[in-house]
Amino acid sequence: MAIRIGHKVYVETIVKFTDEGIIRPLSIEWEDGRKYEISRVRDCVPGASRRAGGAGLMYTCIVDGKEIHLYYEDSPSGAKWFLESKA
Amino acid sequence: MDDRIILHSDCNCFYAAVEMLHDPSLRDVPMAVGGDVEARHGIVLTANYIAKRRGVKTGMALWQARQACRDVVFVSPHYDEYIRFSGKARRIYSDYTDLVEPYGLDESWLDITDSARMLGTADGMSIAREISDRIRRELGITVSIGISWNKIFAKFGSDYKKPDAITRISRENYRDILWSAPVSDLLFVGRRTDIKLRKYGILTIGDLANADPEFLHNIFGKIGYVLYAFARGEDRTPVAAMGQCAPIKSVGNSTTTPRDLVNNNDVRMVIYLLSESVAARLRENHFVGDVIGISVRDNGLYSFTRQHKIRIPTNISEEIAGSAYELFKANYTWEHPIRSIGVRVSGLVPDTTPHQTDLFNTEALRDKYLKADLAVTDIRRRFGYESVLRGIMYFDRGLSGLDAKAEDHMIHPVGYFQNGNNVLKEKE
Repeated sequence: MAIRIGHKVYVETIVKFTDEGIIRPLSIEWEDGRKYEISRVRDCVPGASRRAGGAGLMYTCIVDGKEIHLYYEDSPSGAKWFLESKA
Repeated sequence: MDDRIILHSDCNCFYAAVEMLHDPSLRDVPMAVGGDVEARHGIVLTANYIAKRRGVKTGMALWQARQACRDVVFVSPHYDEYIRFSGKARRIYSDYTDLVEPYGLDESWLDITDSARMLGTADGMSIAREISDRIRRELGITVSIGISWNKIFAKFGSDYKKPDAITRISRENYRDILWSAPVSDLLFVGRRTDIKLRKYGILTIGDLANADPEFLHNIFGKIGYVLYAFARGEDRTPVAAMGQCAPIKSVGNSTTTPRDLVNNNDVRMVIYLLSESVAARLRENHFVGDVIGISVRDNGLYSFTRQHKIRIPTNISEEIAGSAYELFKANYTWEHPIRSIGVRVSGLVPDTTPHQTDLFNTEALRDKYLKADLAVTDIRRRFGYESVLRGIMYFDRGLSGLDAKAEDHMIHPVGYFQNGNNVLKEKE
């Protein structure tokens, strides 16, 4: 499930670690319990989200034909994945 | 020789900025990052600009900050996050040069003289802009950057305009910008130096730069020449290379106690607590030291430090605590209760350095103490800090329960002046 803090939504993410050490998110689970497959990762750069409030690696992913930013927050209290919520 | 190009990058209100990034509700209210109010060691570490405008200053006690600004929001510090962000910033800097010298968690000097040309910029401005943009985009916080041909002026530049600004102090404009600024804006002109300079009518950096260096030498000693050189932009201190960390000069630990200390026994308990932590960290860093120091602050305004040299360098808690307690007893007359106390060991040498043993066979005893310390450290590593305590701690568990290791412990690097500043040598 997902945890929302303001505009920041921590999501459960299924991730593949390749044999070359590349981390690729495969799917995420949104607040309503629906699972979304990530069809493509277009980009991965360090990035911050002012709106959600967090910084880490920003994955630009294609989900349902739409582009989303999925953040990998390498926080000392535990690494987590979050999305910026529009609502 | 061509001038160097040095940047000084300073994260604006660093701790507050990291907190505001993570909690957007803090962005539009006056807020300050400060110690734990309950445990009484509350001072403002950083405030955001809204709070600063309303009179909240770094170093204020939390209650003072509350007086200046009634609706200020206090946030406890998250050092692990600050270290994470500081590391991210340094990784960005290291994309431009390997000469990155951190000055605290939130500031760094960068020497981009050699990389500037490669990256196609003559004055460092475009690199400064790129760094500033990347910090905002990748970390979600802002920096102020100063550009100049020496570290002192670059630092001045980063302080000159905040937040999120870039200031270039060039050979052409430094007289206009810098020389009209108050002398206290110069790095290393502290409160005392400022007062002294004012007494002699030296009010601006320009006054200092145009003073007679011999006159400054007469007042301040060697440092007079240094200040003169700094004001004129003649500082040639190199920017240290990445990973070349400043050597450790002393290991210390201090604490503001949960209640005032009222007698020798209280003090002895806290000194033991602090000494155990200091000894453990000395051993972690493979040092022994032969100068034991204490700092004491009473519940009024009075504070003092004392230190003395012991015969054999040590990393044993019993010896450190014993010396510190003797030092305390010899120097305090209990006019007031004590609010905070610190223990520090300096005069450090590697723990492999041979020493002259004692003729009267105290070595066997020292060895026992050391073994006991090592055993206690190991037990605590496995079962937690509270698993083994000295008997003295049971006089007042409220007092001895404070976690000496987690708090405010300081490892002091060797300062700016020892770090290859060649201004002195030239003038002497």
